[in-house]
Amino acid sequence: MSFFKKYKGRMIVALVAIILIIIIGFTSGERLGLTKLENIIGRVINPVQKFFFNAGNWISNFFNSIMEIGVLREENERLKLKVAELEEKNRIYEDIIGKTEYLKNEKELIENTSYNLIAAQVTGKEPGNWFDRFTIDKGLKDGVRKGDTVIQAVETEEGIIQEGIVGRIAEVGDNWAKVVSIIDGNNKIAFKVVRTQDGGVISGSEEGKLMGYLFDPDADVMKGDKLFSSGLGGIYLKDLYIGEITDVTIRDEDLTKNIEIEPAVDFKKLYKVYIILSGN
Amino acid sequence: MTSLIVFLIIIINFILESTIIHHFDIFGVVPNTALIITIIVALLRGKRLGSVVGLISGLLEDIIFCPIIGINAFILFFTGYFVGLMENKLSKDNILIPIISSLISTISYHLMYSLFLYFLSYDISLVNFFKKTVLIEMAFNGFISIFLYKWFSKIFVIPSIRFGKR
Repeated sequence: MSFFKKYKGRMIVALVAIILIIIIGFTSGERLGLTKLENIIGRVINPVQKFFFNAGNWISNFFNSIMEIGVLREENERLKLKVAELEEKNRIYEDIIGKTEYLKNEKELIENTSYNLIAAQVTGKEPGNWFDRFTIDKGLKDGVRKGDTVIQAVETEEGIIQEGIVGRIAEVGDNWAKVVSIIDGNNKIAFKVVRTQDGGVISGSEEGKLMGYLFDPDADVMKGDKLFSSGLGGIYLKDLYIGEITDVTIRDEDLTKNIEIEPAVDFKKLYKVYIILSGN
Repeated sequence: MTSLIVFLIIIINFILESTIIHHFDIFGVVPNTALIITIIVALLRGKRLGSVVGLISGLLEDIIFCPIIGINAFILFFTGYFVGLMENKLSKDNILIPIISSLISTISYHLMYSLFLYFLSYDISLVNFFKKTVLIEMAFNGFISIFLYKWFSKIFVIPSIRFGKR
């Protein structure tokens, strides 16, 4: 009796610790869906987060645009030149495609497979410096499922043009979801290089740049090569733009060719994203 | 009454931490205000309130953001408890105490976090992370803890006379 009373404080602490460890173990496996409790808490907090996130972004944008007024004109000129360049290249490519039958067929195929996209807004970013995760304001009710790919895209009159892959949905609640981004150290994407069709895996990130390695150590890749997701492993959809190679190194101990990649998406300015619904 | 204030603080901190604070980053590093608040409450009010604050803050963060629930809750709970153990023995007016506590707690937070990740077989490049992020975060946390401590000392009025058994 007196033993119990004497150690009551410490026993409660030990009990809480054990319960927490059990919860960790329980939730670290592959879960099918969120527990009710998580769902409810998320449902309540998400709209509030959304409001503050918007407010914060609005203010930040306001200050940024004041600071950028000086460079706007220069940037405008530069962009106009770049657009003219790209239009020219595009014309040349279209020309080449038109001349070959099978290339024409493949182009039609790509244009016709339109993904089922919905737009979502980022409502909160995980505080802390370990992972890059955030929450969005669409959930089960909107058709989002666990494992769906999240991309950044812009909407123009002709449709939605994808800019780059952001991450994938880790868990879904009723009207909110948790997203794990590709910068997250535990997220591995299989990619292929556009120019040479070599494959590889992205294994982690450092300071906002992704690090990866190629399967073939003799592959001929260089700075500036663009990477697309290859769809191997079935986790990410294929043919989504990841980013551009900024550095190639060979590590003797590993016998692999390592590359550093700059992602196409600016993760510091994530605000609105698109989810590719898998529809099941 | 106090518990209501504390609860409000936890929730407001969480909302702000997940929405606005990523705008105030230095070299990409964000202060961990949940950790700081847990330490300060523990320093001012002892191990019971400190550990409860840590537990709730950690659970909130885990539920909303992480697929794996419990890591933050566990670490913050114990941080609150251990810092709270020293509540009686340290002077509450000395501003150095919260700074040192935040420095030490930041390191231990990251050490424990990496331990958990190791056991859950996540592979992270540790050394790089520590060199770059943890040091900056320590400095940032320590800096912010000064302001929050001064502010919180006014909210939780520190009783100067206590009657009865301590």
